Order: sequence, then C-alpha cells, then structure tokens
Amino acid sequence: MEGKYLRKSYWRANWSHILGQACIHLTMAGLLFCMIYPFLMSVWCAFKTTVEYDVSKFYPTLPLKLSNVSAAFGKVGGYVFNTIAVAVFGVIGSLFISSLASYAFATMRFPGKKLFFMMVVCLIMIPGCLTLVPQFLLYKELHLNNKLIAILLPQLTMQPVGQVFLLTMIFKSLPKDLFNAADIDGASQFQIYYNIAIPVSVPILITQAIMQINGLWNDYLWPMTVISTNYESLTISAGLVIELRTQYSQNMPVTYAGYLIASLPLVCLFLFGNKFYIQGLMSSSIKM
Amino acid sequence: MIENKKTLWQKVVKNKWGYVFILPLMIGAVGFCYYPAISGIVTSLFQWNGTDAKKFIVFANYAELFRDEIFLDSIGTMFVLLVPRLLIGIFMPLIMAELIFNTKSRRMQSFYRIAVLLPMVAPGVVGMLIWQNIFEPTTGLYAKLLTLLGICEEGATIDFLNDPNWVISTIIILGFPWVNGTNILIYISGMMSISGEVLEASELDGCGTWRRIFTIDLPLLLGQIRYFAVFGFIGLMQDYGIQMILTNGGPGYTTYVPGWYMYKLAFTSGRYGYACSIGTVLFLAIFAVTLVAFKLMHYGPFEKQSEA
Repeated sequence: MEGKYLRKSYWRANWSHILGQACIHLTMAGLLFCMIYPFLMSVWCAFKTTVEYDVSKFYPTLPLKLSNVSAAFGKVGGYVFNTIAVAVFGVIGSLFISSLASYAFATMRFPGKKLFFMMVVCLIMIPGCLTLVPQFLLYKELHLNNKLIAILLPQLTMQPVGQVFLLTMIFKSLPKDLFNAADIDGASQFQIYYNIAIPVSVPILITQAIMQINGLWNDYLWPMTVISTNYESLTISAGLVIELRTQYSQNMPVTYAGYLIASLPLVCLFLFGNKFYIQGLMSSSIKM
Repeated sequence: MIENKKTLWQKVVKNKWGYVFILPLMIGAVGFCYYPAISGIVTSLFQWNGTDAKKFIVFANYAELFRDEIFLDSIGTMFVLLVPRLLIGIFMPLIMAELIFNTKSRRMQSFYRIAVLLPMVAPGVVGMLIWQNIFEPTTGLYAKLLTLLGICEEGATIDFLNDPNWVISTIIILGFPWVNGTNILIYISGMMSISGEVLEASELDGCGTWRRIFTIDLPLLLGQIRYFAVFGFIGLMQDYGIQMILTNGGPGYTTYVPGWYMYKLAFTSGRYGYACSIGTVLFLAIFAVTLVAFKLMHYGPFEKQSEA
C-alpha cells in the first residue's frame, strides 16, 4: 500500500524530469542524425553504380560495387601516402623542436630567455592572411615550391611555435625535485629532457600530435598555393579538390569512394586517439 | 663594465645548452614567421608582378585599395557572412553542450561526447564537397527539402551556389547543424568546473533548469564565450575556404571577401604588391580587434601566462 503510494508520487514528481530527458534525447538524436546523414550518404554512394546513384542516392542499396574503391584508390592513394609521410616527419620533428625549446624555457635559466619566449608568444598576433603571400614568395625564392618539402617545412617551422606555449606550461607544472635529483646525479640536460621530461608528458604530446595531424589532413590552402603545377606532391585535402576539378565528367560514386579512402586514416587516428583528445580538452589545460 | 660584460658572456657560455635547445625553434620563428610578416608589409609598398624588378611606389597601393570598389564591397560581404556564422559558431555548440550536460544517463552522456566528434574523421573538404552535392540544383537534397517545405516551387531549378539571390544564405546553411565537437567539449568542461555546491544550493532553492542555465551557467561560461567570440571573429575575418572550393568568389563578385580578393590578386593576377597591401590592412584590422577585445575584457595571453 505504502510502496504503491510512494511509487505514484515518485512518478508524478519525476514526470517533468522524464519528459525533459526525453526532449533532450530527441533533440540530440535529431541533430546527430542531420550531422551524420551527409556522411552516411557518401558511404553508401561509394558502393553504387552510376545508374543506381542517379536513382537512389538517398538510401543504401544492396549489390555493392567494390570496384569503385580500387578505382578511387588509384586516384587518391598517392595523396594519402604524401600526407602520411608529411604527418610522420612533421609530427615527430615538430614535437621534438617544440618540446626541446619548451623544456629550456620552463626549467633552464639563461640570459635573454624572457625575450625569446616573448618573441614566440607574440607570433600568435600575426595572422595567416598577412604571411600567406610573402611566404609563398619566400618558398619560390628558395626553389621549394611544387615540392612535397614545401608542405613539410611549415610543419617544422610554424607548427612548433603554436605548441611551445602549452608545453612550457606543462613542463613548468612538473615538480622541480624531479629535475634537480637528476641534475645532482650528473645527468646532462639532454638526458634529463629525454629520460624524464618527455616520458611524463606523453599524454599531452599525443593530444598535440592528434591536433597537428588533423590540421595537416584538413589543410588545402597552403598546399594548393605552394604547389601549382606538380599535383603529384599534393596532400590529401588539396588533392581531392584538384581531382574533382580536373575531372569534369564525374563518376560520383568513385569520387565518394575517394572521400572514404581519404577518411580511413583519420578513422584509425580517431579510434586510437579520441580518449586522449577528449581528456586533453577536458583537462585543466584549457581553462578560461 | 668589462667585468660585467664578462660575467654576462660567462653566463651565456655556462648556459649554452639553453640556447642550443631553443635554436631550432627560433630559426623557424624568425626565418619562416617573422621574416614573411615583415617582408609582406615591405612588399605592400612596391609594385611587383613577381618577375620584373620591384618598383617602390610608397602608399600608392593603399591609395588604390581604398578606391577599389571590389575591395570596398568585399568588406560588406565579409560582415554579412561573418555575423551569422559567428553567432552560430558561439551558440550552437553552447546549446548542444547544455543538452549533453543535462543528460542524466552517464552512458548516453559519454556516447554523445564521442558522437559529436565524429565529423572529425572526414577531412573538412570532404564535408564541403558533400554539401556541394546536397546543393545540387535539381536532384540535390536541399532542393528536394525546400520544395517539400514549399519554399521553392515544384520543378524550379535554383542553382544555389550560382544564384546571387541565394548564394549568401546557402553558404550560411552549409554545414547544418554546425556541430563543432571540439568547442562543445570545451563548453562542457567549463560546465563541469562549475562548483557542485553552487548547483546543489540552487537546486535546493528550487531553481529550475532554465533558470539555472541563464543565471548560473551562462555567466560562469562567459570566459569560453568570449574566447570563441574573439577567436571566431579573427578566424572568420580571414576565412575564404568556401570561396576557394565552392563559389570561386562568384557569381560575379557576390561572395568576394577581402582575404579571397587578396588570394586572387596574388595567385591569379600576379599583383603581389597590391595583394600584400590587402594582407597588411587585414592584419591591422585584426590587430585592432584583438587589442580592443583584450582591453575590454582584461583578458589576454600575457595575463594568462602570469596566472600560470
């Protein structure tokens, strides 16, 4: 009797709560559906014949035409390899340069340190629109345009500048005793950096690497600017745009299969890295 | 004096590893960040097509620029595109963050948090190219939807990206529902850092969800909102990705923004000096916006650093 009454009041008190939750879930479901539908569409369109595509592009149909994928791979495979090569060298190089400098800024004392750090920090005030044209002219002067290295070099020169700020804060927050003990034991500065500072900051380095790879994968402005004739050395995003422009008589399913191939490495990165990424964003590193 | 110099030199020698460690970074910063910036400003004072000798013309580029109708119109276009996109960029993630934050079920909450990041797995251009397909005049999803809603007449063929009356609204619609996982997560982390005591007290005092959102969450999230407003503004001022991939600035000059005009001048017309003058003007505008924003908000990178 009592239990029944309690349950009844429980339901009444929570009626609005349940309704509210239902509203939230419905809205989220709607938004997520709108967000994901174009992508799903491109997934199933990648496996259609051109005839099927014209009739039924809004929903999946069964006989999968797998040859689209191999046809598309012939077109965009090269760009994917370029991007992976730039990503590997770019990320390792950039994180090495930025973490080394951050270590010096955070733990070492030398004349002019503040000035150098300020110089780096002030660079965030310089927007890309000011430097794009002169940068292109610089690379042209150095005869680096139309080469893959023109895409790699900014990853090693500009990317570290953005990473130094955060990494310096991280290294500064590490306990000083950690470094002092090693110093007393006679370890060289590089040994301390390599054996202590780097291992303890691996999670944040991974977050930075994910952001960098993602940025590289999405960048088309710089590659399309600096590579104007030798399209074979483009990275993936620019390659997709060029490929789509040059082929006027489009075979849309093959194009969609190309998108799929372009996304696969990012899917792997996401599966591996989403925990680190979410953690990195949710951690105190971004407090405003 | 000499002694002083000596000790400074000794200090430098003693701490040589510090310089060695920052050397690769500084080479990149000076050679590939500062040098182009300065040379951009210098080039803006020249008339130069990239091959012939540079001709020093002082401020003639700027004089031409502020009489250039295309440039002046492009500033208006920039704001027409910037304002709605900025508001969307600030508030859409905020709304979604509130929805996710108010989800009681823990499992659904973490599911949503991962789900909003999903668009990250497709390169940005793929998203844009898919949208180009959605905007296809006759068979596209958007055309079908608009006819269904009665906004378009049945059988009307509207080339959304090539019709001057439609192109602006089409660009703004692009990317619906404008999910930005990264920003959503930053908002959620801000909401999570609101002290539990405050939330509990408000609940005991009978504060409903809506009231809590407007009187507690929003004021405490002002930092994040400002951040997205300032950086979104700066980013959108120089954004011309859609022009580059979808509209090519067209139809006519309807979607020209200053950044795109600069790009066209440099890489299609080869007028590097004139293009650099647009770059410099944009830089100065962005600089002014940043200074005003930081002044108004007493918030800046330098302050943040001293806190840390």
